[in-house]
Amino acid sequence: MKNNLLHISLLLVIGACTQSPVEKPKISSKSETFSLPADTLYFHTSHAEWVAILYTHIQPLKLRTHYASGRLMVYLLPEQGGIIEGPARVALAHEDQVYYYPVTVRNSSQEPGSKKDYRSPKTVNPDSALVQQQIVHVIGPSRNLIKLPGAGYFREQELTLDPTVAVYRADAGRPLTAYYVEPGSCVNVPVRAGFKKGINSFEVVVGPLLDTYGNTVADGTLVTLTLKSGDKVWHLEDNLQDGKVSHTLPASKFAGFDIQASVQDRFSKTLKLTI
Amino acid sequence: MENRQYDIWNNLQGKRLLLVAMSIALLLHGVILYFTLPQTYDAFVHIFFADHYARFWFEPWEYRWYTGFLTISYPPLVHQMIALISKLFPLKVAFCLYVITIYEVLIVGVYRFSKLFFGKTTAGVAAILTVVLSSMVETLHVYGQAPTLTGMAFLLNSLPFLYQYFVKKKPIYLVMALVILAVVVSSHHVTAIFGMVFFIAPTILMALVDANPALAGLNPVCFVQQIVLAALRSYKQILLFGALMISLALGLIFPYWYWSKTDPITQVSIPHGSRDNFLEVTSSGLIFYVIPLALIIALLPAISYSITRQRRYLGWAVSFFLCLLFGSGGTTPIPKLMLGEKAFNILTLDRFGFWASIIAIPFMARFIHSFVAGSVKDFWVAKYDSATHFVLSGLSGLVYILFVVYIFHLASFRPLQPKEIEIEPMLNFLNRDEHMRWRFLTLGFGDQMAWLSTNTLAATVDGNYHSARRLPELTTRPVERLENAKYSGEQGLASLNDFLTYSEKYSLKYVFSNDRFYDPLLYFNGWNRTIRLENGIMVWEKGNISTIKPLRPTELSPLLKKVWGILPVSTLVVAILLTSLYLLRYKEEEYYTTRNRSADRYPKVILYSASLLPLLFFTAFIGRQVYELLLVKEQGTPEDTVLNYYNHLDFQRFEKAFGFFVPSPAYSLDRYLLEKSVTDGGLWPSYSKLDSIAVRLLEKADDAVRAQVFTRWRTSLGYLEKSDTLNLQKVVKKWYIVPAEFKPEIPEEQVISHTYTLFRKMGKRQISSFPTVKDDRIKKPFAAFKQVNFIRSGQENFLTGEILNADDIPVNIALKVSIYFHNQEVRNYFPGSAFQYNTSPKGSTFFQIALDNTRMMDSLRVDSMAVYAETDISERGYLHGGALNYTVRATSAEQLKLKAEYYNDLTTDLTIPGLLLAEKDSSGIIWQARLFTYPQAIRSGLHGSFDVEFEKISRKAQRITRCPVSIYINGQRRKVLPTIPDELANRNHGLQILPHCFMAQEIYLQ
Repeated sequence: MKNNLLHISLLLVIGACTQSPVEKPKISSKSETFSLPADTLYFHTSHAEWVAILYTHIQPLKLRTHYASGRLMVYLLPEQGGIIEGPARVALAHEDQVYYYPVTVRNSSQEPGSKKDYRSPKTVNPDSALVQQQIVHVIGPSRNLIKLPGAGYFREQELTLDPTVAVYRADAGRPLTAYYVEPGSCVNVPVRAGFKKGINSFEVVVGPLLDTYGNTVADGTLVTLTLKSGDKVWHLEDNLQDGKVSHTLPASKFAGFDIQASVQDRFSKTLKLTI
Repeated sequence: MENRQYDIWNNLQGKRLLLVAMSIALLLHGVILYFTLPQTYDAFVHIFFADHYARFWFEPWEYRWYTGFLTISYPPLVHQMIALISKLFPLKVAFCLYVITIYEVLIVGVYRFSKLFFGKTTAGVAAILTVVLSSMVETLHVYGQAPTLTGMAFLLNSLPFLYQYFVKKKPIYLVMALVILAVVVSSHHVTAIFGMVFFIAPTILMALVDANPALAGLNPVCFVQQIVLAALRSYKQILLFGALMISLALGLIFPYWYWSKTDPITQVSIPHGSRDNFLEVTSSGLIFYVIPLALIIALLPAISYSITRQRRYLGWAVSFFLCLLFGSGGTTPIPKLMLGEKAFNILTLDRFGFWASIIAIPFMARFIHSFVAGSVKDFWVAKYDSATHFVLSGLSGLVYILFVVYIFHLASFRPLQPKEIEIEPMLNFLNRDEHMRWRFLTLGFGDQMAWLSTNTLAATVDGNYHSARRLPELTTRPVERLENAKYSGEQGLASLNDFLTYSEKYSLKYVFSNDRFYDPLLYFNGWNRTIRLENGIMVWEKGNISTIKPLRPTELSPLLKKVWGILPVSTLVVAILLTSLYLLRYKEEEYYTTRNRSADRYPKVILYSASLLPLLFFTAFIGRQVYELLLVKEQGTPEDTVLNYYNHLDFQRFEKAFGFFVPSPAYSLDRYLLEKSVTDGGLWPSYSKLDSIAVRLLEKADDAVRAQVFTRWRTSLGYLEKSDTLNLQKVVKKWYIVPAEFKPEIPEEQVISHTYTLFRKMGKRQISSFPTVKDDRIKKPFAAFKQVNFIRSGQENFLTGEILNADDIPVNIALKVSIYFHNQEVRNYFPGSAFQYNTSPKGSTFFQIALDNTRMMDSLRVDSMAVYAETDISERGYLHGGALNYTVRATSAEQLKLKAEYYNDLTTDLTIPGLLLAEKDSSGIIWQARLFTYPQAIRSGLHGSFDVEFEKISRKAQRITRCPVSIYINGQRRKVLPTIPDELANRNHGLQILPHCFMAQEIYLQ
């Protein structure tokens, strides 16, 4: 019984050993806007041991602290870099007690930003439209949007592009801003055929294939040559190169055939291969 | 005193032999196992399960196979133990260490099991026999069945405890028996279930007989009566054991039973060689019966004599002969009648043979011991002389060792698996560019597909544990795995075809192909070759496949997960601890209180047959293998000559095939290979396997024969039938084929040139782990539907149409039809082979998408349809063939005959020349689209011609216009272009043709 009482007493003593809570530090800074690294936050507190963390909306950042005569100074060293601006929270932690203080953070110095020029669509085909939507904004080195010279952070406009086929760059020297004007469909399918006596063959040339703006139709475009004679049909497929496709057809095999070229749903006139 | 001396000697001898057996096993199997492991059927499956536990011990959901399954579908102990060892060693080493340890336990088990029957020396011989017994060697080195061995090892170790419990009636033996049986239950459920019948029941029966010595002298009727009475007298013991055993079996692997009950196996039975009629399918008989039971067959007279001599062996005799009978598969109808059709079709019956061999071990050991140093030896020495006995035993031992060596090298003589594949290049591929976000499929990997899965977190639609499959496409067909679909005949290829066509449904984007047999199927189903890896594996890719969608795992209570993770391993820990305690405190020298010494005398007929049969049997077996490998007369008759010639052709042994031609200085190997190279290639010579062959002799003289050869070839696109006529000539007792006159086509050109426009997608331009970055986003190419038609032809329904690549770059198009039924059900359908998945800029292609049959569609009532096209830039596959010419002739109102000829003006072979045919009516509407392929390749600059029969359906089919069909391209609603009449098709009796050839040469990456 004596032992039991001893153990119970011991347990009660251990249970009574709880830590008294630390009082919440009072912020003494006048403004809630905190420019970093220039500004320092001040807190009144009786304890010296505090850990300070700044929570921006995407990153936690450990702040430096210094305690002197009942005042806690919280600051960021310049070499710790810039921050994402906007609403944030400063957390002061002492062992397992944490207190939060809402602040608005800004970078003390404003470094020049880089312009971003987005184009949509990036690829334009004259078959549909030559209109492109452009959105421009400037982003700072700490990933903050920077106001444009006019009002607002973004500028949007519709651009009508030059119909000449090329790879263009919105920002010179920056390949990632490239946009493309591609050739459209061919307007018509010119075909010509001539007999070459020396090699006893017909030389058939399809092209040049041009789109409505005079651009050469894209390399690789499928050109189909259909040759017919009686119930016999030849189906030849070729891919366009520099706007043209050429075929040498032996006269012994193809003399008397009708030939017609087609691209997509456009057909050439029909020629007769005669010697 | 003399007895005691004998016992000491017997004891010492037995233990020595046991140690020798364990040492030999360690040396022999320990060394060889690591090298035979990749060739085994099951080792990698168990390693895969072990890898699962190593990664997710308490999470039974395994997402990597079959779109997810529960690992509670297999008792976990073996896999969990390997997983634990794998924390220290690589997985393969961990598996070997585990298995060799279990093999040692098994040897001890056999030793202890044999002591139930005979003395310790015989038990020692049994232990040595276990090391080299063909069924064991096959189970370990050919099947890699670690759980079977584990189950058997512990079952055999439990039997002496169970026996002693019934004889000596001490509770410690019951505890020990149950503790060890708990390990059996946790390792292998099949061993536990059938072990109760074939091992535990005979043990109890034997114990009852031994515990009642008076039973031994009774006549059979009285014996049965008395044994029933004895069993009734021991009912408390039997009930206690039975109740505890059932509780253990249910409790320890409760999640397994829960899974069996809640998610029962409902799949179509998968054919297995062990269920074949071994007299008809001799190869199955060899693998599943003759090899594992070779020594049992050779010593059957001695075993049968011994096992039927004593009443105490009655249960064992029944078990042995039943197992032997069940192991014979479908050779007789009896196993099917006794097991029932369902069990017969689920079980792999070779395990019964394995159990028969285990039961036979003590009786074989008994005879071998007697033959080497007992009464049988005395007989031979007395009857003849010691030299005769020495030669007979030496030769018998030698041929048996040769036989065991043959089993070790079985995989070399009869390849069971593809060659070992280096997996690192595939792992690198899967880790790269987020390829793991899609599923992959392996083809031609054999069981190594499980090893690849073990080493990656990427998922495959296939798997190697078919009891866990729940995908209807897999469970409704008798197909073991997709990766070896070609061995499952038409059903296998149909199943594979479903997955390759409906790949979007399973987010299946990559195929690792180790077998070019599947190339035509992949190509014509819209798969493109992406890269050949360093290990020779070709990676095929399908465009526009969605990434894996989150899947809700099958729910399982957290408590069951904990039970599954803790209890099975605990059984082994408890078994080890209690066995140590037993050895220290309770172990008794003898199993039975009254020693039951049986004489080792055999009747003369048994003595002669059992002594000579092993020598004759194994000599004949080895002789036959040698004969088949080296001495078979391949050209003895005209029929044999033709059959063997085609066999060599099938396996591409061209030098051997050349040896079948009449020797002549004018026809050299060089010339044969040159002629072959001109005409070779294509679906038939390069992508097919000989399925069946028949030879008919047309004209027969003494030394000359004209034969017609009918062959049927299996290809991934279906069966091909061919008929050849060969002339054969007899020269010096051998038949030779007379080479056919060869007339090569000689092109006029000296060199062929062709200008290709090749495209290369630049891909990501920013190094980022995000799947798409705004700067990388590449436009979705333009496309347009020229027409879409819903056609009904009898019970067949399909959607036909034509789609145009309206862009300036080659395009890969993925089509999907969604049908919205009246009951809110939505079904998706995808095109098969009647479609060009890749088209050149401004190119068009016909398509046909098969839908459900008329009965189904009418019963569900179609509300509306939507056709979705997704486009992507394509780099390959948009070149479809050479110069095509054709004439179309109508043989009747509905039958067309097309005479087509390709001239290959490209610089690559047209490996499988093909045509995409569309039937159009006068207004240009497409009624059907069909792919036709020609099985012979066409070389550059050469011609190839063929005829095609085409049946028109426009007169009998109907175009259904009442269902609204909406069209979407890259997610945006579009309109179908107006249909225009096709002048060329009208001229050709309504047939429009596009070239659609497969070009195998990789330089063009088609």
